[in-house]
Amino acid sequence: MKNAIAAEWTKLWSVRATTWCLIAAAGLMAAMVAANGIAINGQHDDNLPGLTPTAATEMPVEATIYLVQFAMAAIAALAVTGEYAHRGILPTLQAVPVRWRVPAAKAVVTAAALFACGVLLAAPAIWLADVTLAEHGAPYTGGDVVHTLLTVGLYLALVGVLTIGIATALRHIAATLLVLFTLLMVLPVVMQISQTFRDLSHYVPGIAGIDLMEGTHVLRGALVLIAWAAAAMITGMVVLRKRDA
Amino acid sequence: MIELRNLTKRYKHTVAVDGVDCTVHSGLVTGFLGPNGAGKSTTMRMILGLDEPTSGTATINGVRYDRIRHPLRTVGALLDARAGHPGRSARAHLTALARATGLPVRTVDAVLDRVGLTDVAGKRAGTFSLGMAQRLGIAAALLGDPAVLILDEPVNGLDVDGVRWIRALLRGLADEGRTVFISSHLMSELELIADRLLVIGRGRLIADASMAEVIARSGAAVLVRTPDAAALHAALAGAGADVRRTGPHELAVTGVSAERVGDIAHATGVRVHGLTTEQASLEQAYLDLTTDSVEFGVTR
Repeated sequence: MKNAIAAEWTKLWSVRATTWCLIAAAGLMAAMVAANGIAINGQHDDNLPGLTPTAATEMPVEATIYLVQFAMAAIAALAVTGEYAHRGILPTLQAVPVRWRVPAAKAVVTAAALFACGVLLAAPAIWLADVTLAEHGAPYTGGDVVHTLLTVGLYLALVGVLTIGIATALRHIAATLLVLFTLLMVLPVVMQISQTFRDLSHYVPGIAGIDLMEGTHVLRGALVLIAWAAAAMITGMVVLRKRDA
Repeated sequence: MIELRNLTKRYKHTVAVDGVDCTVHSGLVTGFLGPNGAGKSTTMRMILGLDEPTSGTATINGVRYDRIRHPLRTVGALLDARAGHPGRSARAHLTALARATGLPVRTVDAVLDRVGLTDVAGKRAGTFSLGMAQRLGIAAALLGDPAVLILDEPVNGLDVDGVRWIRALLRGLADEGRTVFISSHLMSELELIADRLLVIGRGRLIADASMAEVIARSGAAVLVRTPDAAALHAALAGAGADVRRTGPHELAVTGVSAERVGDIAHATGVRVHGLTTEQASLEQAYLDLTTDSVEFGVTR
């Protein structure tokens, strides 16, 4: 297993797509946080009614949910579907014939990379939010900063694992991203139609992520995400075991 | 040693491999010959644990592929030269494989040197010509210094130099006592490399014999040029061969291998100026063997 993880680490960082996705994630984070900060600042200046104060630590969360997570998930999706698109799965399975180890190693590597990158992106994003909100930012504590950094990292890591599972089961980039977008974006929006569905939506990855990162229901959010990621991984491993490579 | 026992792969409407039962021995180059779609690649994929057999077993030194502790150090395989991310460099591709099987990264440079790709090691594999990609695939197969090599159409896409290089390489590997199993759809290719031949058609094993036997059985004539045609004619006839005089200094011999003709000439003390196997009839023999088993044949 240690060898499989080392191999996947090498593979992850030896294609340009990974770098490009990270650059895209950084760009999206910066753009959304800065634009939002400037907008909120302007609304305060204009004294628009109904404004609630926003803390700089909340802004990277919003950017992650709306934009950044998709660039990050693409890294995970490509790590799997790239193998099928270019038949790299042949040498991969020749080297690691105990099949469950392949997605497991990819999950470990992706989770570690996305956690680190999430933390590293969220930190300057808080600073950028501070700068753009200027004096209109709500106060926050050092604990809030730590909470944002860790939960953004954790959320991205779990979305990465979820993506590895889905991609292993589906083997195709478009199908993978479609399922992922449904779970992270479409369902959370559609389920706002009634109170019953709103309550249930907390058990869907997208809303669970907000619960986790905004701190409304940290533990439940984390557990829901872990459950989805685990279910996706098990499905992927079963499919990989049953189907010919 | 690779053992196939009643190996069968059935898809919904077709049988790709149908009860193949044979042994591929160490110390020999074994050719796996058959027309396109005969089941060669499927057989190799089952040996490597990539496809699950419908029934039967494939083992390497008595062990199923997925039970081998360090598979790349036991079996080296090349199924598809283009397999792998085109954006990854040759060195990174091999480094990932080395790490996967717990080999030190320096083995990568050694194997790159061995296949002659050192100068382009940092280039993206997608930019490689088919011949270079084939060398990279062979590098991956040789990486773990395995005792068993399985190569699917290894000569495809190689230029004359490359073909000669791979012939020498495979011969050397077999002479070191390794098991070398290579597929091809061309008889002429295997004739120069293989010691033994497995012929497959429509998923069934048609022949399992030494190359010399296949040639002898094929009715392919051995053409021998000699200034002492009469003496050799007599000696060969005495050894039970069927001999025709095709020219003042040439005999066409059937029923024995070229090696045997050479040996007889040597024993008789006759000078030999040329000794070849009649290529046309060798291809014909292969076609005869597989006529009924061509999957996508044209009406002849």
